[in-house]
Amino acid sequence: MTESDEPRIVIPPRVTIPIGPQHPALKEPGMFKLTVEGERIIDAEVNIGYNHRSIEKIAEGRTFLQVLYLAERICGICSATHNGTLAQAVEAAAEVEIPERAKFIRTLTWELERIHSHILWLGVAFHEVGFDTAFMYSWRDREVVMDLLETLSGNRVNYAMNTIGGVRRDVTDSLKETLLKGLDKLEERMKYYRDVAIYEKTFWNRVDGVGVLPNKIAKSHGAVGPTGRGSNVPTDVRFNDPTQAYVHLRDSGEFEMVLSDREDVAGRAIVRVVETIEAVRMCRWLLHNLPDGPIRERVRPRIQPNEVLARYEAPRGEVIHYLVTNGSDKPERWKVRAPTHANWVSMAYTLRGGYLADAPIILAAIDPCFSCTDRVVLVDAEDETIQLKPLDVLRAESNKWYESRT
Amino acid sequence: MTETESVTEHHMAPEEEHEEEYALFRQVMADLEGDVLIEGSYVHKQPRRLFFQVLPDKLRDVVQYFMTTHDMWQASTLSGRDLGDDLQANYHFFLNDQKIAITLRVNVPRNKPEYSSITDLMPAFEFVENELRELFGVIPVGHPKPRRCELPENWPKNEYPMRKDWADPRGLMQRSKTTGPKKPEEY
Amino acid sequence: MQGILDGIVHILIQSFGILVFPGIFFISFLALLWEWIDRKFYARLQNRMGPMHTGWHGILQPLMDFLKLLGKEDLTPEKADKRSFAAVPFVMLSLSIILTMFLPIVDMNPLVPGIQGILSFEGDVIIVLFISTLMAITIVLAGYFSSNPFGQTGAARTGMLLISFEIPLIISMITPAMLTGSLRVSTIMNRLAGQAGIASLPLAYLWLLILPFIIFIVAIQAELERIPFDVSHAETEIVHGWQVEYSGKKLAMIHLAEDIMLVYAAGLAVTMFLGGPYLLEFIPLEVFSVGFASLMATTWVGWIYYALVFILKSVIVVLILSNMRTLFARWRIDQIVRAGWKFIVPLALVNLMVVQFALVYIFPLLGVV
Repeated sequence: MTESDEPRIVIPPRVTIPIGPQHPALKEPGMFKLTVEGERIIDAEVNIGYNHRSIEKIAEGRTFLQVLYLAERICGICSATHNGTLAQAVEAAAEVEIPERAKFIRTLTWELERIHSHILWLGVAFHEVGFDTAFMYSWRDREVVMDLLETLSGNRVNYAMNTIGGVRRDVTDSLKETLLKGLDKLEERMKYYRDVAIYEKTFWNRVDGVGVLPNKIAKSHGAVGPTGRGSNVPTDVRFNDPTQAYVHLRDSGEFEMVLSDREDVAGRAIVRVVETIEAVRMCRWLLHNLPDGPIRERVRPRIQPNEVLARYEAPRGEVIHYLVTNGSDKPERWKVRAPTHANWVSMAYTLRGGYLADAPIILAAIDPCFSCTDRVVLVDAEDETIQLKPLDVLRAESNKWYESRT
Repeated sequence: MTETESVTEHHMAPEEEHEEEYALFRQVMADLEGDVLIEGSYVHKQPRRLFFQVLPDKLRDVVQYFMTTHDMWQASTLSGRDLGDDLQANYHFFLNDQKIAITLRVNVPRNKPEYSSITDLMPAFEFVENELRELFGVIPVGHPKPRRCELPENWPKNEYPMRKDWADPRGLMQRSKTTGPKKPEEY
Repeated sequence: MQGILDGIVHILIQSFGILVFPGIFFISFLALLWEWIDRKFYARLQNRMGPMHTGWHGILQPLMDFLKLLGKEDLTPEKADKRSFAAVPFVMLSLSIILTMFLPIVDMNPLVPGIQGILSFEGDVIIVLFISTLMAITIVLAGYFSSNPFGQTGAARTGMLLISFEIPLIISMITPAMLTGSLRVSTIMNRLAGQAGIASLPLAYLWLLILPFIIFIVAIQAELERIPFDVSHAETEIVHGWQVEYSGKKLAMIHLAEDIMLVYAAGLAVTMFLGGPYLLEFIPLEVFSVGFASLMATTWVGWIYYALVFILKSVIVVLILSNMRTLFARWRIDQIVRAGWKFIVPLALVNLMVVQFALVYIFPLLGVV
């Protein structure tokens, strides 16, 4: 048998394509090393840690009220999430029951935030598959809910609605009408986007059967949020472990956990779109059943020694705040687990075996939020090459430079 | 932290309104006698929260027990703690059938902070166990993919920033305090 | 003496035609205008404003982008094949300009009946198709010369695109050639339009042009690498693919070449399927009969008239192409190849058979020859 008898197998050259730390498909830094053969991805590796802010360490030197606003800066998109969850954790540690009306308003902010986050995701997903028209349309309609949040809280991004012991702003009757009117419009638009996502052939072809995450893998790799629910994993803290007004929402029996057994990107997309419509309905229910009463309870700044595990279903999945208090007005230990962090593990699995062209939509399908993920780490400013400066120093220096020029 | 203080952290729940939790708690304590310490294991006042203090070398057995007996698949996270003499790893899980969140905690001595990893049982802990090793210096022995995951690549060895005695040799934490206007001489 | 003067005047007119109108300058002007129309229409369909600040409603924005890129730093990657890397933009630009020279916009040769392009000879359809294929091959080379993984992936995708959509493009352009029995762009156009004293085709033949026109529009969209066929420089996947390493002047030239390709594509559609720069002639009135054509052919009024009609018809094609961009998501490369070989190529072949069958059997039977 000579060599020429053996069939020659031509192996396409293996190329390692880095996606990130800077890449148009990523809005924040993260790195995905993809090894591709032609168009097929055969291996994937996830690297994170490019956005280090050491929030947990900083928090140990701050009072609870200060940490509350620090928590809001963990993530811009889910700012009410971390803010509210920390408030909830501190209240649980102090064993304070907050007024019913405050609970409802807190939940309302959370649900409005979910709407805005999911529409944002939808736009990004449309953009990743090159459907820019739908991307522009969905972000235009996202402005509706952004305006609602602005009228509710005064801010478009960092709402600062929650405080320890309640909420900071009340919902007046006229505001209620505005919110209800905006919610009607949102529901109508979301139904339109649901139809676009399902019936638009070119979009559907790009998400159907892409990035498959089997139910078993999703469970063992700890997929949370719409990523898990898209693989039929029943993890939704709002129904499994309800707090705040979610107890009433669950007891009303009008709402159900949105699950999909498609296990691919299409499943995750459907879960998100349907969940947005559910969130609109939840907001309306909350507004209609808003109880009267005060909106905040006084809480002493010193919290008794306690340890609390606060959970909440953020738009991207389960958020965990593990708070240990020691009797002072500062936390002993505060651990934040943002949902994206849990989804990284299953990420590498879903990327393997897919097409390179599908990598952006698979990456986007978990709705990655890097700033949430990389909160624990310190910026090494003393390093030889890079000198990082705080913003105010930079500002002062730039002012000096401009003055010297004129 | 002294013994007395750490006891005051544990707010035991009253029996009423926590029947399910106590039922599970008693069953686990009976099944795992010897693996789980009575001191430090309790039902928390917050609804649906159980805490178990596990012996470091029995952690894998306890996790396997929960996975087989109580169908535990949802791994939430792992958070480290610095208790002074000991370092602590808190494994947070959620039992989806009973809808109860449980925390398994392991204390390891500061001079030899090692215990066996459970990432091969639950792959979800891959990133967080690495994170624990970086930030607290608690080493999960047998981790399949030990690598740097959160800290910068040039971070010095034997420096664990989340430990309470981390001295901040490069003055990094000072830079985080940028609230409020600064005096001109501070620039 | 008179002969020499005439020769000089002829050369002057010819060089004016090549350099200014309807040659390089006019084509570049159209290219930037088309880009503005494309961007503006695309933006308005997406409920955006589009370019607004430079000139009237941002009409000068493409020019400003071009000038800005000319002033930017020009980098060449260390690993790249430097000479070839630098040559690609020039080759692309010159090829695209040569392509537009074949478009009959105004009458450059009054001696021959009907409107002729700057370059016009028997069999030039073949040359046009050859050069447009060469353009795609240049793109493949551009990707490989830059020796960047994104560039190479983009180049590979361009190659895939080439093998699946070049064939329907060629077949769709064969149909008008078969109907008119000519392989010369101007003859095909003039015979289809039936103008300027050239024997026209019976109207029944025009029905056969509808299907090839649709195939042509789809294939030319792929040739231009626009959504839904923009896989080769999908910026969310491979960061502008084969263009990723180009910057400064080279990128400016590549962009201009792409815009000129849009002029060429729209112009080719106008020429081959929409009757070229004739409009008023189709109105059955005494005024627009033979005398009108000779007037237009000999005076400068004709140049303006033909150019305006050409612009008008091209804009319609450009709007169709922009509208296609808004309607779809980007396809994956395997979906494109599958769609190309499963639907578009068989459709084109069936169309070819239908045309041949009709020409040989049906039309003689009906008596329309």
